[in-house]
Amino acid sequence: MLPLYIERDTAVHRAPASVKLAGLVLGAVVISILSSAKSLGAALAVILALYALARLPLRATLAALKPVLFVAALLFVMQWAIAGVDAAIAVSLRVCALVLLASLVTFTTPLSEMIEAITAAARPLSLVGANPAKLGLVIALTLRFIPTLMNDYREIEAARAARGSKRPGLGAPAPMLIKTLRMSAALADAIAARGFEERDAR
Amino acid sequence: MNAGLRDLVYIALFAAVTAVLGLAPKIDVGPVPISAQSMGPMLAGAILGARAGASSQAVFLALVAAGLPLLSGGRGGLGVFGTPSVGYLIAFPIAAFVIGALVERVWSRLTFPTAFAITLLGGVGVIHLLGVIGWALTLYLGGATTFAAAVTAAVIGDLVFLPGDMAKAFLAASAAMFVKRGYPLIGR
Repeated sequence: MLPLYIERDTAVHRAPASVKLAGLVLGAVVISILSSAKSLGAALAVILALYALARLPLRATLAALKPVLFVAALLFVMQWAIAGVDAAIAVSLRVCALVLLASLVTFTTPLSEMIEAITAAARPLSLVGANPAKLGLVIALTLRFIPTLMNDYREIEAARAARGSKRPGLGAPAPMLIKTLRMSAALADAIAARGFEERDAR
Repeated sequence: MNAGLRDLVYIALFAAVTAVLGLAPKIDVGPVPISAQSMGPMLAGAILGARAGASSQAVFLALVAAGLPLLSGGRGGLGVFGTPSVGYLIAFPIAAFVIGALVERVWSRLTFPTAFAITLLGGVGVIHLLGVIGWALTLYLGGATTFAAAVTAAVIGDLVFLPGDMAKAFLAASAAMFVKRGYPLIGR
């Protein structure tokens, strides 16, 4: 499991996560307001220039666009039929620009900085009883659980295949859930034994 | 002992379960992939209850937004919240909350048919309703002129996923009943 972050040493990468996220919000508003194909094309050109500045490979740009190409194509056809070819081009450009801008932030910001930005953004939630320190612990635990669960699943599948069963196992997940729930309870006790007290988490 | 801490670990566990479900093989139908992932909110709600279940799905979405490729097909990052999948994703914590709240209410007399009805309502009803709204809005705000046309397109697209998600609700309900018998967490 690899983060989508692409490591480079550029000005775009060095900019603080909070600045990039603020820029994303602002950029999204601007792109939503622009309506002519010309201005949206210019916005897309600016975003692509930022991709070049961040020295991101073309492969990454295409990968970011892949999930929206279908929507962009669908919108293009619908708009063309209703409002003509200019409007159709504008709409497709807007969808692509929005997704490319959001992906730019993801590609150029390390996971740790993003998690910090999320924890910081969650700070106002403490007013309603949540605790950012809790969130940090939960995120760390989740990242550790993912490879563990995948290993457990592979082991059960391998055991099933070794017994000669051919169809995918539907019986494995439920016993696996109980096994991991037991493990989680033990883990909670282990964390408590190491001094992370509940009042820290409250 | 450590009930609060245990809840935190369970929340992390079900955020991870939802992520791992997305790594199971999937089929692409148009722009939205069919995967086992939507079982995540069903299991979280039915096994952890409303609050912890919804929290686990919120943590999962936060990690997706942070740029981990945890969605089925290895998608992730902020960009996915601009694709037609956005409504389905935002529905995850809400579905877990609805399922959890209903399961908590009938916990002591919960049987498989009731559990299946609840996972259908929360896991299929809530997720598909918000999914269609999100899908229609991405089409409409993207510029498809009439809202009605966008909604029609979204509803037709959404129907493809109904049978698969109903099967997932069945599996999630049976897994939840298995856990209820073997290791109950609600009503402790």
